[in-house]
Amino acid sequence: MSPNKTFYCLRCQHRFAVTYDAKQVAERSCPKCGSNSVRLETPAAVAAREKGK
Amino acid sequence: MMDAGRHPRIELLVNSEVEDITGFVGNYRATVRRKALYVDPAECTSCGDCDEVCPVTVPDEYQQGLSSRKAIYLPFPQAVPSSFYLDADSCLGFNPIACGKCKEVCDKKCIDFDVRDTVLDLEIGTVVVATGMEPYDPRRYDEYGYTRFDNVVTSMEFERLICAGGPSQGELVRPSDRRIPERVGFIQCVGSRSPNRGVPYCSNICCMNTIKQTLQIAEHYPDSRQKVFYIDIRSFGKGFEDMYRRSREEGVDYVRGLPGCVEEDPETRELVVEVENTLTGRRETHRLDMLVLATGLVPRGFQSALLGDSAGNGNGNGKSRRSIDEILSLSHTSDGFVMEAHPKLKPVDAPTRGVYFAGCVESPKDVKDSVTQAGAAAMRASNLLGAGQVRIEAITAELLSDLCAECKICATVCPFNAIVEADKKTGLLPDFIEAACAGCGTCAAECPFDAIVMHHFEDAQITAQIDGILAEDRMEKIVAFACNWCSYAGGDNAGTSRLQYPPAIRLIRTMCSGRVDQRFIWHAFERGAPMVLVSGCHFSDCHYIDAVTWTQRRVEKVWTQMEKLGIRPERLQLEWISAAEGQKFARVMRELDRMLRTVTEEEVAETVEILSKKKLSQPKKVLGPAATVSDRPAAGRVAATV
Repeated sequence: MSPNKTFYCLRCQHRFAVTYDAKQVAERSCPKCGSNSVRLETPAAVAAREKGK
Repeated sequence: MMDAGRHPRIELLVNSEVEDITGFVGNYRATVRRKALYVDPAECTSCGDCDEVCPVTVPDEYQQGLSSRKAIYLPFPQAVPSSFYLDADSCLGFNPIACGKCKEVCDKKCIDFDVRDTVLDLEIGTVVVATGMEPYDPRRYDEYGYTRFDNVVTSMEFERLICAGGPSQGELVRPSDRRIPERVGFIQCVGSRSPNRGVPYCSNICCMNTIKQTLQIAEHYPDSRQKVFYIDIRSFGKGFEDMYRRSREEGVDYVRGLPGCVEEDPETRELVVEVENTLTGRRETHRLDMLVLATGLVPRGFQSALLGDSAGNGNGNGKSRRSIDEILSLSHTSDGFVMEAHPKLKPVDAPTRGVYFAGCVESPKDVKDSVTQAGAAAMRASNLLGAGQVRIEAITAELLSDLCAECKICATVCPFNAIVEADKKTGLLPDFIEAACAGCGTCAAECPFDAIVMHHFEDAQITAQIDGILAEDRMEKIVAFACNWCSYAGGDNAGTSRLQYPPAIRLIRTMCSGRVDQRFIWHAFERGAPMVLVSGCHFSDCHYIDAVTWTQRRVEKVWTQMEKLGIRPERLQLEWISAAEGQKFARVMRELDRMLRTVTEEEVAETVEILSKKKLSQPKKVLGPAATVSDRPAAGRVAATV
């Protein structure tokens, strides 16, 4: 069973958890706005985003 | 089947398994394992002497386990070839021979225990995939009591019971006491139209199959009473509505509503069915002698996933289906059936050239539709073979050998196996098989060295479009890459539906979103694009098998890099829009237009400055000997003839 990972939406900034398997590329969408621009929230991504602000 | 078996130009390879298929249209090579038959079909006269002496008895799969067979048996009366078959798994063993009675009694001496599997290497021009489907296993519907109550059977089991060649010679008997049932019920949509416990789609055949079975019962047992529990009856098709009317006229009681539970009276073995009749709004109780579950159809290999590992896989052979999918790189729609090249214009073609579909492997269908599709697939295949050559689109990939660094990425990402990967040891370059290339452009987008030209969608052509878009009023524009089949058509749909959306969007069409090189995205940002959109087909709709997955990977890489560079990743958007989603297209454009308003001139100027130092839109330079080699041969070069 794949673990849940947190994703965030690059359109509405909504954060949500879905099952994630790094080996499989799956179509994902934001449950709030339906956008497909969703990013896996990794510590590196968060740090890079904070740095960029 | 008989005609196929007798045809001089058709060779039937029974009990065989396709292990591998390589090559491309007109030039496929198939490796087929022909499993040992132990009985020579050319010599066997189906006399049945072997069957009589065989001491082994096992459930008969053809009769749905309702009767038994021997270890050596005729699979079913109309089997082609019409010869006995030895089930090596059930046989007492013949190495050394543990029984051998069948061999002793065979006058024709056609049983040979020393036969072994043979592997055939076949040259073939086209492939027709007709691997069928599986009936849904109703054990998940515990409230219906299947396997708990003997007199609850599936429609397949019922079919055997009422068939003249069945275990009861056509006499409809209850499995519990072999008494003829007077009251028979049918429950529709078991597994179908049920996203939670089964499959979300309608299985197409169940309603008409039930109607046919009610007419059979009415004909054989005029005094019987029948009830059909249904959501709605779908009897579209020639003569089908007439059959439905006849069934009603025969007195079959159609109750709109699916039962909530089924219990058994332990004394009489009657089945007590509780149902809410949605036409009357009343709860009803029906007492029946026998209950038939009209089970849906599921793609091969999906049964175990539906049931979960613990429930097991009762009757499916998912392995063979999965392997043929892998062998031919077949893609699937969201319901798990194989995806055709085009649902309307190429309904029997696979996305891979020279591969066709027939029957339920493509979608649930009845005999008539299966025969129609099989005829169409045979014609498509024979047209191709008859022509002796294939005409391909001019949109294909070509290798610039001087720039190739033999990294093998192109061969890895090609969804059609159209690229034979480079061999560094022998110095062979990758070989691009034009006849197999479908023109998605994923290889060109993934090549880090720009060593692949995608004809008609070349880098220079696309970057020129980007430059053109951003030449004026760039802060008012969104550069959008749209795939030809879905997103671009979705935009068309929005236009023809007269849907309103802001004029900021500027579409650049590519055949597939897989063609969108990350250097195009960087080029757009370098030229001052405030926002970029990459859009393509939904994963289940991708016309290039899995090319769209590479798009997502690539966009994710760009997002990561944007974050590292301090550029807001929100300025790059990804969206999957199908051709039918004109409304979604318009909505996305409105949302992007709102986001566009949040991007400032200063932010764009800063991005341009950052990227001007990084040169991310430039390809990698090839180092070493590859830069000077231009006349090396390509790996695995094969003439593209049919």
